[in-house]
This record gives sequence, C-alpha cells and structure tokens, in this order.
Amino acid sequence: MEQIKYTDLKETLYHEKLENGLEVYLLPKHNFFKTYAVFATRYGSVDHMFRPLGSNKLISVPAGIAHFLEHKMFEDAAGKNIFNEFAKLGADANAYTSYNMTAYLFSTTNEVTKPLHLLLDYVQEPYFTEDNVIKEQGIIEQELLMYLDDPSDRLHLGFMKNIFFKNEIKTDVGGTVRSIKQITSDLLYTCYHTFYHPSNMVMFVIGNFDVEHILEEIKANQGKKEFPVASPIKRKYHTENEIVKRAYKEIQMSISSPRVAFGVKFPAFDLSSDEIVKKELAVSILIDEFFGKGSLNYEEMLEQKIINSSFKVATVLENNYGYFVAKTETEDVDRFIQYMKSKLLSMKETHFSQENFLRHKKVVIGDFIRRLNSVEFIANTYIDYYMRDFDLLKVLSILEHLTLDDVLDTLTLFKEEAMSAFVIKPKKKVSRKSNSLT
Amino acid sequence: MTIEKTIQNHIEKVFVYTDKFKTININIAFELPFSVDTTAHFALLARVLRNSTEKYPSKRSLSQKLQDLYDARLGLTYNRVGKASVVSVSLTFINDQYLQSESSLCYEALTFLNEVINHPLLENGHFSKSKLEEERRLLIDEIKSMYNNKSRFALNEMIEAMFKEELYGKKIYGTVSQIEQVEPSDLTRAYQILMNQSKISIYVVGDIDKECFENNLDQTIRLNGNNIEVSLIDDETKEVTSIKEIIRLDPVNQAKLNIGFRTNVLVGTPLYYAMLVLGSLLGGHANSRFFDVIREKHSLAYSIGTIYGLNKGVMVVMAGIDAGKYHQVMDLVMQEIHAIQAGTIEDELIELTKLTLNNELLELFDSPSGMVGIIQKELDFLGYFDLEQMMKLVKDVTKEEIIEASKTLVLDTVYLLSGKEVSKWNKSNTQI
Repeated sequence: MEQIKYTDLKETLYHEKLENGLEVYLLPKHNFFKTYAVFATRYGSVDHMFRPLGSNKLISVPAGIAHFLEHKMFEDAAGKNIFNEFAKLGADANAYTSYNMTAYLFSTTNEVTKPLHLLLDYVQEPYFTEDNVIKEQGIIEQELLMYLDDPSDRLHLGFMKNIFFKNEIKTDVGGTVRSIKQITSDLLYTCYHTFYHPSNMVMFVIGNFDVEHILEEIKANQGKKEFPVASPIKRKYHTENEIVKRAYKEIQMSISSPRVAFGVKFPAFDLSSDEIVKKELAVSILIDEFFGKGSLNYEEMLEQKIINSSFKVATVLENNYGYFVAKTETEDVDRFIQYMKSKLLSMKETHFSQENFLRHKKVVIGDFIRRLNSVEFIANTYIDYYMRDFDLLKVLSILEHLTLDDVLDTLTLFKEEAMSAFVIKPKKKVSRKSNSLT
Repeated sequence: MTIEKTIQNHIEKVFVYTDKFKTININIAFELPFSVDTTAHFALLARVLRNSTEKYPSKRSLSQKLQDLYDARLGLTYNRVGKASVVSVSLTFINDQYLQSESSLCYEALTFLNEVINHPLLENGHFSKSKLEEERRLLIDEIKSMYNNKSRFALNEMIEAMFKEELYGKKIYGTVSQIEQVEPSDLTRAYQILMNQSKISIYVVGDIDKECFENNLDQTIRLNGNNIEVSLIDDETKEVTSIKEIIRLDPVNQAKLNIGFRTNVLVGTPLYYAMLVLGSLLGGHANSRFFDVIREKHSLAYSIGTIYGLNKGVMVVMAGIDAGKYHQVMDLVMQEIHAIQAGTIEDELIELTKLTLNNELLELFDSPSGMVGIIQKELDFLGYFDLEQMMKLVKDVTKEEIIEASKTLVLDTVYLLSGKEVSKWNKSNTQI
C-alpha cells in the first residue's frame, strides 16, 4: 500500500491498485463521525461515442444514457430498494452523474464494512429490463421538466448551446425528453459492460475507519468476482476551436427580471494534466482580478446598476472544452453585454500589479484549505481531478510555481469571435404579476 | 470535542474545541424582540454593515481586505427565530497552523471583526445614504428574484396565506414598500439598539489558539451584553375552522404543491422527539412513506418531503407534481396521515427512521456551521448540551408517541402553483 503524506495539510492518503485494475484511495480522518465512500467510473454524459467492449466498431448512444444508467443501478433482480438496504445499515446512499464521471456513494456514522460491500455489490450487479426502463423514462422526464422550470439551468444550457457546435458538453447531463426515449435495456448493458469494468473505476473512502481493515475488505470483495480481461476504452469527442456557434440568442420564461449569460469560449487544448490545471488557475486569477468582488469593474457595474448580487463568474478549462462565463440578472441586458465585452477586450491594456497577483494567490490558498473542512468536498473533488489525471492535494504546489506572466499569457484567449450571450427575458403577462409581489 | 461555556457581562461565550477543522469560525449573534415596524431597518442594517466600514469605505476595499486575510468569509445575516430578530455576524478564517505565515491571521481577523461591528461607515453621525440606496436596490432585487425559484416561492406564498393574521406570516425583511421607506436615520437608530439593547452570544469553533482568543477576544471586540428576555419560540396559533385551498396559475412545467398542517408540538414539549420522528418517517428520507408511496409506487411526484418548523408548530408537505395528478396526490398524502393516526406504522420503518435521524444528527458535527447550529439550539432551549442524551431521546420514541403526535396535525392550508387550470380538491370544505 502506497502512503502519500501531505505534511502542510496534515493529511495522509493511502493508495493501492488492485489486481482487477480498481484504484483504491483511503483517507482516514479519525476525529470525524462520518465515513464517506465514493465508487466512481470514468464515464459521464460526454461519453456518447465509443467502441463497446469486444467490438471494433465505434457506436453512438443517446444523450443522457450515463445518467439513466445511474438511476437504473438502484434496482436489483430481487426487486429490493437499494436506498432501503443502505438505510437498514444506518447509511445514506446517493449517486450523481457529471460530464466526466458517474459516482455512487454512501455516508454513515455507523459501521462501515457492510455498506461498503453493499456499495461494491450493487454497482457490480446490473439488472435492466424493458419494463423498468420504460418506468424510468417517466421519472427522468419529470426530472428534466423540473429543470426546464429553473431559469439558472436554462441559462446555463442556453449558453452552452450558443458556444458549442457539436461538443458533448453542450447537452444536459440528463439528456433530453426525446433522447431518453431511445434508451433500451440492451444499450444500457452495452454501456455498462464497457465502462463499469474495475479497471475504469476508482474507490475513495474518507472518514473514521481503520485503513488496513477497509483495504482488506475491498480486496476480499473484489477477489471473489470475475471480470473479463480489460482492453483500453476507445472514446471519441467533438473537439472544437474557439469560434462560437452563435453570438446571441434570447428566450422568454416566467421570471421576474431578465437574465444574461455572457462569456468566452476557449479552444480545445492538448496539454499535460499539470499544465491544464495550471492554465485553469491562471485564467481564474485573471478573472478574479478583473471581475471579482475586489475589482474596479465589479464596483462600477454595481454603481451603474448594470448588475445586482446575482452576478457570478465561472471558469472551466479542460483539454476537450473550456469557457469563461459571467451571469447576472439585469434590467439592462445590452449595457451589461457591452460592458463585459469592452472590459474583456481591454484587459491586455490594463495594468495587473504583482501586489494584486499575490493577493489572488492568497485567495486560492485560503479557499482551498477552507474547503478541506468537508470530507464530501475532498472525496468528490479528488475523484473529479483523478478523472483528469491530477492529484487534488497537489493544487497548492502548482500554485506555488504560477507566475504573473503565466496569468498574463492567458489574455490571448479572450477574443471577440469567441464571445457569446444568452438571454432570458420575462414573459410579458407574468412580469405584470411579479410587480405586485411585495 | 470539548465545549466551554461562560457568561460574562451578560454575554454568553461558547468555545467548541476541536482539531477536525482547518478553520476557525466565529459567530456573534445579536437577538432582539421582532417588530413588524422595524424589521426592514434591521434587514438593511445587516447589509449595510457588510457593505463597508470606516477603514474600508467601499465594498471593493472590504473585499480586498477579506482576500488579504486568505479569503476569510464574512457573513452578516438577518433572520427571524421564533419571536426574535437575529443579526448574526460570522467570520471564518484559516487556522494559523496551516499557513506558512509570520504574522497571526487570528489576531488580524479579530481586529477586522471589531472594525465591522464597531466602526461602521458614518457620514455626519449617520449611515451613508448612498450605501443605503445600493443595498436597498440589491435587497429588493433579491426579494423579487425569489419568484424565480418556484419551490421556494410557492412555500413562501403558502406560509403567508396560512399565517395571514399571525407574526409568522409577516415578511422577515418587511414589505417592499417598508424597505423603500427606510432612511439613514432609521439605520442609525437600529444600530444603536442592536449594539446596546440586544442579547449577545459568541460561538467559536476550531482548534482554538488560547493565546489569541483569551488574550484578545474581549479587548479586541467591544460588545455590550444585556440581560433581556427574547422568545425563540412562537406559540401563537388559532383554531382552524375551514381549510384554505389556493390554486395559483403560473407558467410552470411542474406544479408545486405545499400542504400546511398545524401542530401544538414545539421544541421543548413532551412530544417533540416523536414529532421529529413522524416528520422524517413521512417525508424525511428515501424510505419515508410519501417518497415510497407517492414517488416510487405511483410515480406521481419527482420530489416530495416534509419540513417541520420546530419553534412554530407547523409541518409542511412539499411536492413537485404533474398538475393533473393534484387530487390523487392530495388523497394519498391524507391517506398516509390518516393511516398513522389510526395506528398503522411498520416497526421496521420506525427503527430505520430513528437510525437515519441520529445519523443526520452526528453528520452535523462534521461541519463547523452544523456544529454551531445544533449546540446553539440545545443551549437556547435546554440550557445544556448532551449529544448522547439527544440520540437516546430519539431512540426512546415509542410507536404510541408517534401516533399521538400525528393526531395533533390539523390541515390548515393547501397551496398549488400550477401551469394549468385544475379543479379544487376539497369540494366540501370541511375540516379534516
């Protein structure tokens, strides 16, 4: 068992790769009540095109199938309710699907071994039938309809559809009401067998447990099961340059005041995991300098009533896709867009002091250490970065080597042809109603 | 984890020593009796105090100071608890042990907190008009924006309709027209009251550096404690004579159903723990009755759950449903409650629910804010804190007590936010 010490953070991580290929990470936290375990596969909503296990042909599957599969894992042949089984053991089970992974998890303040076996067993025993697929289509349709009512979700998706042509990231993790109707139990099995092989999975356990004992339990569980010989999974993505599909689109919804998402698309990169994380940090610092709460622009936008406290910025930068987006409610959509556009384009002419740069570094350090209070944050984010081949707990050492020049180098990413705005305006009839909301 | 409680000069100080977190969290609460007439003043005051100080006269300079403190998080919130107004000032910052820094962040943070509390930005002795205007605009925008979160919006509407004539139904931040009328002098008056007439408590959680805190807390942060009575329980209630049923049309894809019940079981009363178990058993987890029957068996809802207002005596069932299934969902919800009132509950579900509740309770102790919340609640309502006893009280709840608690539920208001016209569920309008 490999032992990785992070002295500054006062954490020790244990790691072992099992014979069947499963990567196991254990992080004991003896003063916590809770143990939190995540069993995840490198398979998310962007994995639409791949070569199934045992086939040479690339296939394309309906959007939302990874999320659908996650829902269906909670059913077993005996008709047991998996949530119920965890609850009986005093554990709380859950799962989530993101762009790059599907994660199954539980947390408990009780005994850990039994729920741990249950977690490994139910995820490794699929049971899909045509009947339960049809039933699930109804449930997921309701879930998707609920998101359609949420202006924040609509704004985000609208922006993504504006900037990307074909990249898989532009589709909601859950797919669409239409795409999920194309899902069959056969397709689910194809995806399952391809992506749920232990060699494509990782287990992260954090909390109050004995490391040796838990590792033995996981090994014993896996040792009893047989898996076919794994072959590397071939996947295909639509990577793009920075040109956006459309610069502007607006829709109407039942909301109180207009909302805008304005941002910049980044081209695909082909960088090492350290380099891409460093670049993402650099862009975040650049954005914090120009649009963070301590920036002149933020102050000016508030003074001029262009934004309110709903204003938020986000930066995502990975090899296959990336963007910067600023979102806000505003009564003056055009002024907001014009303001953001001109400030983004003039960043390169504005002085960025070393003093400010050091302050932004302090923010990254403080924010990171504070988040380590949460075992959920550590487990979920560790796995997220693991999927990107990066060790989360090394973030601060990457930051140490980051210079102001690295930050300024990313200025070239902010081009006019890479900019786009998505707007939601209130429906006429409803905005009258909302005025009387006092 | 050890808890140290002291009361000095009428200020309650609670130190929670634990080395599990990498931060120090300080929370200072100022409690006053709630007043409908001045609530908007305090709501805006909290925001203006978060906006700027004498030394950091703009949002920008205040933000930059927080960044210099390694992204310390400053919170100034205003809320109503029972019949009290509570202004909470909180600061979370990194424990010095984790920083390779020469100077003490702890001392700097305390000094900064004092600046926020005791040195607000004043112009000729009053709060600044322009800062007030800025925060007024932002607060009104946030209130209007609540309409966009349809679940929250529907819940608020239901609460307001159900408690129309009671304090609980009054808007916490005041009405928009009240907010529009606040003057700088109102803030100055509210600030004086807050500083000189409120009940004050300080909670600190973390691997507390005794030297920094014991030597500096009192000297650095000046506070005037008061020995006043503040009621954190709101036991105002009324007899339900007929069920209110409100159907409001709004272009939503998924209808939001809220069902409000009254109960006389409040925190500190004998059936309190039975009510906690009942609420969770009905809609608190994935094996609860509502989740199992309405979502899983009948596929009638995407989300369904219960909320129990423990210092008011209200239980709300919230669900996201297809509007066309409104009557069916209502019937099933009432059927489940009637079944429990009639004594039908599986023992297994009771045990499972207790296990879940105690699991949730312990999990709260794994986050600084969860810890403060639960310790504060116990100290406020009981005067002492005993985790073992809390868990035992949950375990000791009997089936009979749960049935008894269920019999206190009286349906008061049904509220549906719907995308299409639907007929009323309660045709006879009789009490249930």
